[in-house]
Amino acid sequence: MATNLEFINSFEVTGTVQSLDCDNVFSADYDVYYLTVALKESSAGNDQWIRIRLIDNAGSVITASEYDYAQLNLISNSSFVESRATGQAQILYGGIGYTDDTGNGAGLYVFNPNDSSSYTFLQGQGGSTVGGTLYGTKGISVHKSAETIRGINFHTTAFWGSGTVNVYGVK
Amino acid sequence: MAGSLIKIAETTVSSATASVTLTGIDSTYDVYMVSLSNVVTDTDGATPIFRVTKSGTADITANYDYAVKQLRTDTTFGNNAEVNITEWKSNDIGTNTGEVLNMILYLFNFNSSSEYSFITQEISQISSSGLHRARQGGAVHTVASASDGMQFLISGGNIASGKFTLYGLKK
Repeated sequence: MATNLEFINSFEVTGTVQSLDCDNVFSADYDVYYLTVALKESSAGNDQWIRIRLIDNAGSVITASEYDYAQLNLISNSSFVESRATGQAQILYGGIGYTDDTGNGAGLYVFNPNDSSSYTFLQGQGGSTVGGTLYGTKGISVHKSAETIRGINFHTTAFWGSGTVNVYGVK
Repeated sequence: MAGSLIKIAETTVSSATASVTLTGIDSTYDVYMVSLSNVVTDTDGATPIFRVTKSGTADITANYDYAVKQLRTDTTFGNNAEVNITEWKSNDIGTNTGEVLNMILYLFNFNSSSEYSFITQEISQISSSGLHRARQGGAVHTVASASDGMQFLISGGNIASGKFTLYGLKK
């Protein structure tokens, strides 16, 4: 039976990298996308947030200060922590959390990326361990520029040694 | 998750419309999902609200409870909760560029005549004051009878545009 969650593409970390482009995944075929994100650092002790940028219609990663975000960090052994910022050059707290050498798992919805007259909205939630402590994360983000977006970039200040991002269209 | 969504009903609004009703929930699936993307109002400061339907008609009795965490990019996150009200709701939206509502709902027990109808909600929107905000949490309709859909409308205004889709999660 045909279904309405349609696989678009999969992007795998190969080697040791700091950046993963998921390009040419957003199109006029869908308004809403769902991404699974599982990224693992290449060595212990770095514990860095997964950072997000969008890719414009020309294939360039957008580095302008056009991102707002907010995230609630649900930490298993201490008080929950709020994070937020506006006018940033990247989404640091997009809800999908950290990675460390034990990896992470997250889901991310992306709304309206192909609409040239609309902002692109994201919302995500994830689970990660940081030095052995569970961090649950829930977050929202927006790219405050009305333009066509065709892809998404994940990057880190540490290094990833493995991981996969799968992109689905919600038809 | 892959390939697990089955589209049941969809409405795309492109001119002023008072409400959208999505029905078709029955015993076919245990869990349903609703996606709203790029929902815009024609009235600044109007509040999107949503209700369950019983036999295709919105239930407006005061039996709606919700508890959510309000993520926001400008200041400290809030807790919002109400009981025994006549609808569920998001933050208000406006008429300026980017002031739209995007939302994912998961619906549980809707077809049961002996259980309450539960939802989880994830919202990413820009409010009428231009703030990026979200209501993330849960809600319940405290009536033990079957619900067959959802109605969406905007208190104090019309839906100017947007896409509303109901899916079943394949067993």
